[in-house]
Amino acid sequence: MKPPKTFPLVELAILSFAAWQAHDLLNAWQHSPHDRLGWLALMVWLAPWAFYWVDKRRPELSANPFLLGAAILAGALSELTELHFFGHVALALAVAAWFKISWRWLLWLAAAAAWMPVFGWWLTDFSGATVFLLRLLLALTGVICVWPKNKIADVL
Amino acid sequence: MTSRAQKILFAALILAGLLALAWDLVPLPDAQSRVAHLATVGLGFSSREMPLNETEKSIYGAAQVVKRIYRAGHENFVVVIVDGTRNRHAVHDPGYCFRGAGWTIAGERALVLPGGAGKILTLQKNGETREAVFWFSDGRERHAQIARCWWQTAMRRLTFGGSGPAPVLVVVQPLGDGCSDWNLLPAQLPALFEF
Repeated sequence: MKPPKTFPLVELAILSFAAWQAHDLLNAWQHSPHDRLGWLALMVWLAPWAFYWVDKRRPELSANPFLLGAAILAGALSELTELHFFGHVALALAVAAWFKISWRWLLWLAAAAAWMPVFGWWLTDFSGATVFLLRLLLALTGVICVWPKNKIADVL
Repeated sequence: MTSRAQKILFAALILAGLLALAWDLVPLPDAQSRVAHLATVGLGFSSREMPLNETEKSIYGAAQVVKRIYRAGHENFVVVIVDGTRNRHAVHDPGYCFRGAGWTIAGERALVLPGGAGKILTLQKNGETREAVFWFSDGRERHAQIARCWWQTAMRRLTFGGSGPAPVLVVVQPLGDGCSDWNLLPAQLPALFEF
C-alpha cells in the first residue's frame, strides 16, 4: 500500500536553509562583472526542476535524504568557514535531491557550476560577456542531459 | 522519504543552525593590534591617511582597512591593507578586483619578499600600463596565493582563531604612471614588513 501523501516540510526547510546559505549570489550578480547575469544561468539550470514541480505525472514529492544531508553539511561548512562556495554547493544539492540519481542527473548537477561565482573566477581571464555565454552553454548542456525528448519523468 | 529520515534531517538542520549561531557569537581575534604597529613615518619615508571612497566602503563593509599614501625618496605609493576578520569576503584575489575595474592583467611575476613572496601584476587599460604588488601576511609569512589565504581564514574560523594569526591583504601601487623597482620595496618601506 502506498504511504499517504504528506507535505515535504523538512525537505523544503532544508532547501530554504541552503538558499539562505547561497544568498550572497544576489550580491555577486549585482556587483561582479564576471558573475553578472549568472541568475539567467540559474534559471536555465532550474528549468527541469520547475518542470518537475508542475508536472502532474510526477511521483509523490520526496527528496533523497542522503543528498539533503549532504546539503546540510555543505551549508554548515559554508557558515563555519565563511566560504560561499560551500553554500552554492548546498543549494545545488538541495535542489538536485528531488531527482532520481543517474548518470544524466550527475551531469546536470555538475552543470550547476554554471551559475556559481566560482565559474567566473575560473574563467577570470575571459571577458564578462564570454563568461556569460559559457555559463549559458553549460547550463543548457546540463538541462539537455536530463531533458531528452519530453521524457523527463523518466529521470525525475 | 521515511518519517525517521525526516526526523534525523530535521535534527541535523537544527544542529547546523545552532552551530552557525555559536560561531557567530564567538568573535575571532583580528589583526588590528598588528596593523596598528604599521609605522606612519620612519627613516626615509612618511605617509598620510587616505579616506575610503563610497565604493570602497561598500565593498569592505565591516572589514578593517588602512589606506595610506607613503612617500619614500622620490616615489609615492598607495598602500591598502585589509584585515578581513570581520568580513572575510572583503579580501578578494586582487587580480580579480583589478579585472572588475576594467584593467587587463598583462603579466604576473613573483617578487621575493622578507618571509616569503608577493606577486607583481602588470595592468593595462586604455593604452595605460601600471603595476601593483600584493601579498597576504600573517605577520610571519608572506605569500600571494588566494587559496592559501582562504584555507588560513577557514581554519581560523573552525578553531576560533587557534590555528594562527589573521592574514591581512597588502596591496601596493605606485601613485601616478609608471612602474617601480619592486625589489627595492623592502628597503624603501620596511614598515610594510614589520607587522
